[in-house]
Amino acid sequence: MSSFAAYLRLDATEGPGLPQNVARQLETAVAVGLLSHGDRLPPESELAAELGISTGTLRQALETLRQRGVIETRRGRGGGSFVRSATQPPPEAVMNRLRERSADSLRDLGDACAAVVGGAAHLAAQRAVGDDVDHLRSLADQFRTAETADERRRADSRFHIEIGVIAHSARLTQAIVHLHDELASLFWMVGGEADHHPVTESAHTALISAVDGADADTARDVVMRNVEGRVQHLLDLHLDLAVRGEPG
Amino acid sequence: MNEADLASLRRPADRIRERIDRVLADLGATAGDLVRTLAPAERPLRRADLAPVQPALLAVIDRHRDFVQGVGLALDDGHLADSPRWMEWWRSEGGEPAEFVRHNLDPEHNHFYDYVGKEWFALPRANRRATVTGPFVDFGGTNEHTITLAVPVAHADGYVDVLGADVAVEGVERLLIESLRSAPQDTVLVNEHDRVVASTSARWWSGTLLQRAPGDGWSDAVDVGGHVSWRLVGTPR
Repeated sequence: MSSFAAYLRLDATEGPGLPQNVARQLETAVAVGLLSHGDRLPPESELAAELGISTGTLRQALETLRQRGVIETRRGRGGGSFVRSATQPPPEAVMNRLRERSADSLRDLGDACAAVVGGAAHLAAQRAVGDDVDHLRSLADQFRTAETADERRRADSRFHIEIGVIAHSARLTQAIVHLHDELASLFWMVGGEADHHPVTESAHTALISAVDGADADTARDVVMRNVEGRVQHLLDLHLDLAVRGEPG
Repeated sequence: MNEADLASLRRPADRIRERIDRVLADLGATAGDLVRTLAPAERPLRRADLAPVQPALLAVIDRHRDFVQGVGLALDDGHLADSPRWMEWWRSEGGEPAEFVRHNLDPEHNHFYDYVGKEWFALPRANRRATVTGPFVDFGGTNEHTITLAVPVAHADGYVDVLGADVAVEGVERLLIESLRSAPQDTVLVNEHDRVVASTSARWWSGTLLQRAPGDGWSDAVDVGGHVSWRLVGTPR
C-alpha cells in the first residue's frame, strides 16, 4: 500500500457523498504533508484498490481535485496525476480575483485586518519576553532571504501570525490567519513588487523594535499603517484592472 | 504578609506540583515502553512501524482524562525513512474517543508546523530531561493556550523522539482555584518568565506578564518545585 493511503480515513460506503469524501481526504493528505507537491499519485486502478473504492468514484474525486487546482494531470510517457503546490495559484487567477472583488470589499478586509493585527500587536508589545522578540527577528530574516513571491507571502504570514501567538491569544491568532492570509495572498501574488520589499522589511523592523521596547501604541500604529498601505496599493491595482482592464 | 499566608500558598503549590509530576512520571514510564516496543522493528523505521505505539498513547490520555487533552510522539528529524518528520498525536476532549491529530508537516505549506524548533520539542530532546513549556498559543498544534509536558524518548539507534502531553491552561486554573477555596489573599501562579499561568483575581490575566510594584504587599514567592520553574505569589485583597 502506498504510504499515504494507509493514513486516509475513509468511510468507504459507495454513495453520492463518497467522491467528495475521497477528495477531501486526499486534500488533507496534501495539507499534512503526506503528499508533497510534485508527487505522482499511484495509477488510478491501484489507488482505487488501496482505498477500497471503485475507479469511477476515484475519477470523480480526482476531477474535483483538478478543478480545485490540487492536482494536475499530464499526458503521455511519464504522465499521470501530480500534486500541485497548494499554495501557488497562478498569477492570472489572482489577478482575476482582484478585478472581480469590489473596492468596498477590499477596504472592508483591510479594516478588519488592520484592527485585528493592530490590536494583537498592542497586546504583544505588553506581553513579549526576549525569546518572543527573537522569534519575530528570525521570521523577519526569513522574509528578507525569501526568493519568490510565494516564499515572501508565507514568511510575511508567519510573521503576522506570530504577533497573535506573542499576544497569547488563541482567537486573535485564528483571526489573523484568516484575515491576513486573505490579504497577503492578494498582495504578494500581484502587488508585492520589488519596491514593496523594503517597505515591508522596515515595517517588520519597526514592529520588532516597538515590541522589544514594550511600546504598545507604536506597535499598533506601525502594523495598522502597514496594512493600510497594502490595501491602498491593492485598491489602486483593482481600479486599474476594473477601469482599464490591465494593471496600470 | 505573614507566615500563615505564606503557608497557605504551599498547599496549591504542592497540589500543582503533584499533578504535573504524576503526568510526567507516567510519560517517563511510557517512554521506556515505547523504546521497547520499537526496538525490534527493522531500521530505518517507517511510519507503518508506529502502529503499535498507539495503544500506549491512548492509555496515557485515559489515565489523565481530567487534566490532559492530547498525547503524542513527535519523531526526531530523520528518524523515519518515509517521512522527514512525523507526529503520532492523539487527542480527546470531554470524554470523547481519542482522534488522530493531523499536523501540517509540509514545509512548503502556509501553516507548516515546524515542531523541531519549538521549545516543547527542542528542550527535552537537547537536555534529555522532562520539560514543562508554556503557557503558549500552540498555533498549528492544539491552537489553544497550552502547557506541554514532555519527556525525551532515547532509542538505541541514536535518535531522540519526544513524548508529550497537552494540558489546557484552564486545567491548571481549575487546580489553583480548587486548592485555594476561602484563601484570604489573591494568588497568582507565574512561570519562569513571570508570565501569569493562572490567578484567582481578575486583576491578573493568564498570558500577561506580572508587573509587581514594590509596596503592593506581595508575599515572597513560593516555588512550585518538581519539574516546573513556576512560583506562586500572593497579595492582600
